[in-house]
Amino acid sequence: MTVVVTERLSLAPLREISLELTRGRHALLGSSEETAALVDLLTGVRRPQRGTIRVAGRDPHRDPATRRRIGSLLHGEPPLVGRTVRAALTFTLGDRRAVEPTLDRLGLGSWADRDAARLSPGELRGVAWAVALATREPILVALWEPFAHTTGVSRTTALDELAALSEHCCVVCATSSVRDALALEGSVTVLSQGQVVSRQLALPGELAPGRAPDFAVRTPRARELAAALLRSPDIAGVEWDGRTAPHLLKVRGRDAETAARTIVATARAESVPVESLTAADPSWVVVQTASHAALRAAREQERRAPAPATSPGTGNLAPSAAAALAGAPPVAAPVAPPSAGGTEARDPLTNAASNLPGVASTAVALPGTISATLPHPTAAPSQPPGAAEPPSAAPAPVTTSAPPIAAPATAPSPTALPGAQSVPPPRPFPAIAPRPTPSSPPSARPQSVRPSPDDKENL
Amino acid sequence: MKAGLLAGAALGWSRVGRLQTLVVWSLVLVAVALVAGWERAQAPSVAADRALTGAAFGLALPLLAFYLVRQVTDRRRLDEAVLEVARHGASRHWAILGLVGTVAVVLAALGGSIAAVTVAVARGLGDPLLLGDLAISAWLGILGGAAYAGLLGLGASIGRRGGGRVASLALDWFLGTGTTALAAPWPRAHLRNLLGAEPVLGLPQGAAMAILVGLGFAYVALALGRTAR
Repeated sequence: MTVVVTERLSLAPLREISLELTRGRHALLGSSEETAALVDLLTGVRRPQRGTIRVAGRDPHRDPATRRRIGSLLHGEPPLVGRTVRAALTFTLGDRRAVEPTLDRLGLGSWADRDAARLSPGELRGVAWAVALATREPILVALWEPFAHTTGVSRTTALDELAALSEHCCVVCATSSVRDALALEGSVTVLSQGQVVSRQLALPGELAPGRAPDFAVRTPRARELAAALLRSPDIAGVEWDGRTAPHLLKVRGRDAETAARTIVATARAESVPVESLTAADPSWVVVQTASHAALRAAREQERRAPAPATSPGTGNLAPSAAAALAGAPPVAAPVAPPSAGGTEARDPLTNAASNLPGVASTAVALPGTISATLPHPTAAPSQPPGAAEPPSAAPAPVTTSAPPIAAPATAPSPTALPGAQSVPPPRPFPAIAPRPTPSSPPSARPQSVRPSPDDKENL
Repeated sequence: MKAGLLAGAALGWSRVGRLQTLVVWSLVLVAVALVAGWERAQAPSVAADRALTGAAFGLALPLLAFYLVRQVTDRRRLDEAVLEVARHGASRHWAILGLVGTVAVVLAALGGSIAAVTVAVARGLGDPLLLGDLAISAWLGILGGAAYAGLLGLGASIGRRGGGRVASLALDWFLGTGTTALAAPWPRAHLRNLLGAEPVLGLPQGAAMAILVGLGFAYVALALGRTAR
């Protein structure tokens, strides 16, 4: 059921905001000024300069009965009316007996007899939080920065309360923190320059048709990673085009966060270097952020337990992508020496394909909605003579329809990819050069792999 | 309705019922008493009239009204001043009535006391006309206080942060001293008439009293008309 409808709502700095919010959790992500103004409008505290707003069919600014059923935590939270917190809440709630349960709900029971005038701004917001949750028969609870600038309220408790509230009303959290927006586990609406620029209707685990979380993974060993990912139940499908974009995988997950973690974990386990992990569509905030979070987590993990430098083929995600994220000096990815053994027997793709039921000899039928064709080694043309061996921790890859492998020139720039269609032509392989040997000249050291600005976003 | 009115009144009292208000009121009393004493020393026969028209109702009462309305609105615009209760479902109209009503009552009481002190000092405690003048002056102080509360309440509903208060005070100051139609909307003009100054548009004192009461209600009605429920 649609609870909130705004049409061309304007109030500086907002410009013509049109939204429809239903029962459930909704994050509004934008600057403080934008989100504060929007919460003021949603709660009827301020009147729009232009446009209309309806909460349960009525204008909250003009209808006191609607406002009575709206819980709010405002940017400019006014001081409490009363000498003590108890007196103030009695005044606000109109019932002295409701004070203790209201405060206890957020673990603020000990504040009841505190001097209201001596509360810090953060504590004041904590009390306002409690009052917002105590709204009787709420139809909308709109909170500005519920997890920031607030003292005494546990994040976990608050999230649990909001989850419970969202069962029967519309919960809106306005924030400038991507982390907080995602923590709500609801839809995310992104505001910029006073306008809605993105509306992520898909919830993690509750994806709308056609809006599955698609990731773009850039790796020099895309085929191996694809094969490994196919084994994971968290991955719905993998797309790889060895001819036009041999270093790019498009991965579809069932849940953004889980899929991102799976990609990173799989890359780690398979010792496949990942140059970048982004959302296939950069406007998908949830996917983008899940990607960044997974990379950051990998980086942290690598910091705590660095992979042995002498052990080729382990933990080469962190030395490449993670070190680049941290802005560290270039680190060579550990690479196994060229194998003299048979390639087919140890090729992960081949293994993966052969492990999948119903796999044709030249094409892999992928689970999920993305169809993909991965050239089978035996069906592919032979590698041109004289081409360099790919620096892979795994055995040398099977020859594919990808262009001939060349010596490294420069490290690729792992900028966010708008999608598989806009992938630039394949670049010389490998993206990350082999680890220099004592005999290697200094110039053979790899270029630093720099992250995109998005990768550095502070989450 | 009742809840909104009471909530507005409670909100208003929580902002003006403070020690600070008591201190300001005491200072104003001392100031008008000093002026009245000085007037008495200059010309005892007209000291009460001059002290009431000048220091008490001309200066102290409007400034006190300005201070109290600023306090009761918390330096915000009138509709935003009742945010604390309106956000939880109280009607802004009733809450504003409660808020302005509270300041009107407080201001009436302070205005009456200012007038009484002024007359007592200007006349002297031994004057046989003291009691009659005290009663009339206190009544005028009550009327004037309530009217100024309405005027400045209307002013507080104008401007982003209620800056209309300053404009309404200035207009009362400059236009209220005349006797033409321009002076008619301002409390000062009718208070002066009631104190024996030249009447506005030749209106009798009874009419001036009724207009003063009517102006108080009209100001509040206009302020409510500018505010959403």
